[in-house]
Amino acid sequence: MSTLVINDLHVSIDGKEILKGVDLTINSKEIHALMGPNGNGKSTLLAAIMGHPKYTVTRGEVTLDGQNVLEMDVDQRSKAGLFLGMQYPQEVTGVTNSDFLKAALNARREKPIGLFAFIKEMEGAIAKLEMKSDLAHRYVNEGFSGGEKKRNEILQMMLLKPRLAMLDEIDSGLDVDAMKIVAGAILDEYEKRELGLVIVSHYDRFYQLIKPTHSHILIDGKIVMSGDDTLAKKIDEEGYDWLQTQLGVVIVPEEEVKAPVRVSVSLGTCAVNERAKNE
Amino acid sequence: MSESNSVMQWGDEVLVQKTLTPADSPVLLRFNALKKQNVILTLEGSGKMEIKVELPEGAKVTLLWWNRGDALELQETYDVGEYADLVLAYADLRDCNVSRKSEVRLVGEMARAELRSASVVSKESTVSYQMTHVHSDTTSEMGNYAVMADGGQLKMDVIGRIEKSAPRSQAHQSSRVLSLSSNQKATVYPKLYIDNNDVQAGHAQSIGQVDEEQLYYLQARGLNRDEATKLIVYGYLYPVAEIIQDEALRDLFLNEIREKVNQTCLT
Repeated sequence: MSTLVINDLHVSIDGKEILKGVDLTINSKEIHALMGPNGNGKSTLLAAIMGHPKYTVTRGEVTLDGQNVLEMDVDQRSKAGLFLGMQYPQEVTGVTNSDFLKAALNARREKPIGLFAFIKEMEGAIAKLEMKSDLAHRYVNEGFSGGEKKRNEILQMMLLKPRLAMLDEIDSGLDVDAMKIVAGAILDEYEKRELGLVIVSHYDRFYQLIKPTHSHILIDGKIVMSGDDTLAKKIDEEGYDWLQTQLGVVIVPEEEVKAPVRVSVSLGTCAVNERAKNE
Repeated sequence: MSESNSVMQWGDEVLVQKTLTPADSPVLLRFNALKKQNVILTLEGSGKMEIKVELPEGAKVTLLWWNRGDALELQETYDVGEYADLVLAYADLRDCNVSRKSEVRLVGEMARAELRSASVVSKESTVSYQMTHVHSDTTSEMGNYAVMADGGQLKMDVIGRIEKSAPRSQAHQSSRVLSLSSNQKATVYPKLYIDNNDVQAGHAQSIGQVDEEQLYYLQARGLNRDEATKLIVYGYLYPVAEIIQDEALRDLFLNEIREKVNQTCLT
């Protein structure tokens, strides 16, 4: 039985405060739905718990079974049993999914995992998620569609066996069939290992597949309302605006997120061109 | 060159593995024609070494250099003959000084040479790679991948030379440097000397740092900063192995990279 306690959490990025005092407790065998308009702190909360370096915790505590999470390095948080299924999983060229997972598993073991045992587990998970069988040899997330990247997150969760998993919009990019498969895999882990889950999604259809035991709405960096699974349906039907009138909160408008621009720098001139000009 | 201390000839074996030290210098390696030859040469010891390699007509050779020496000064020349094919891969992954001058001369029609180097630089590395096109219709390609660790200093000359006698030749090169620390210096000099108009030549360089988002992603799966960096470095050097056709040989090369990267202190 594990418990994650978030107490009065204030988080800033580049000097701007995003989370303004979040209180939340998650236990094993609970499924917490985390909803709220984009740009109001959902991803920030999950990333700050995982330790993303660009977020600064200015006040508050996060403990996992009494241990201070905020004092741990990112990798220690993972080893302590936290998992984050990311919204934008990274591509790592040259590193195969198999190499990556093996390294991640060995990082938390005394003895390296046996090759046969590893392959068996990996292939089992790939089959369960109905992913392509060559996945193990492909580079991490390279050339993956959005939906494949999300399924790869769940694959990692299945192999790493966390105590508490936070899934950031795991349903985005999945078609109806893929969503059922992913939801099925998540629920299996939940039942088998009494996971605690935090699921960020906008869509009731996903919460229909994974019924939350608790739900919360995050607006302007604070949880403004909590309830049971019926809250998701209400949001789906009515949106978030009614909360502004009912509770007197103000929804932070979504900022246009600019995709990072990769700038290629070319150094030097081409000798052939120069010579051709002089001929 | 002066009379060789060691002359080695191969033509029939599928995989040759040999260790060379400065005591063997000067070394002449002669390959027989028409058979695919895979060679792994391990360098040990310290001091100067002169190596000459001959690929006669039709020879197809993949030559991997494992640098396990300590401050070796290497001078290598390769002669690639008519319709001969040379694949050259260097692994300089140890925590020591490296000095190397390597020239591949494409002296026969349709001679081809591909060179890739994987380096982790934590000391002083002065290297020069040159492809000289002497004959027409020859092709060369160079890909250098260097990872700069803390305290590393790299000076790399990458030279494509197409002589007047070599029309319809193609010379391409690219050099990529990944820096892991601000306390390092990498200087890459790409050079193209072209004395014939009917040719294709090009070069590309890039210098970058480890993507912090990638690092965070790997750390979020339980790898500490050092382990995550090593995995990224391994992935960065991975393309060097791609020119090796033989799968078993490629795996050996990748294993060498993986082992040596894991042993080196990168951060």
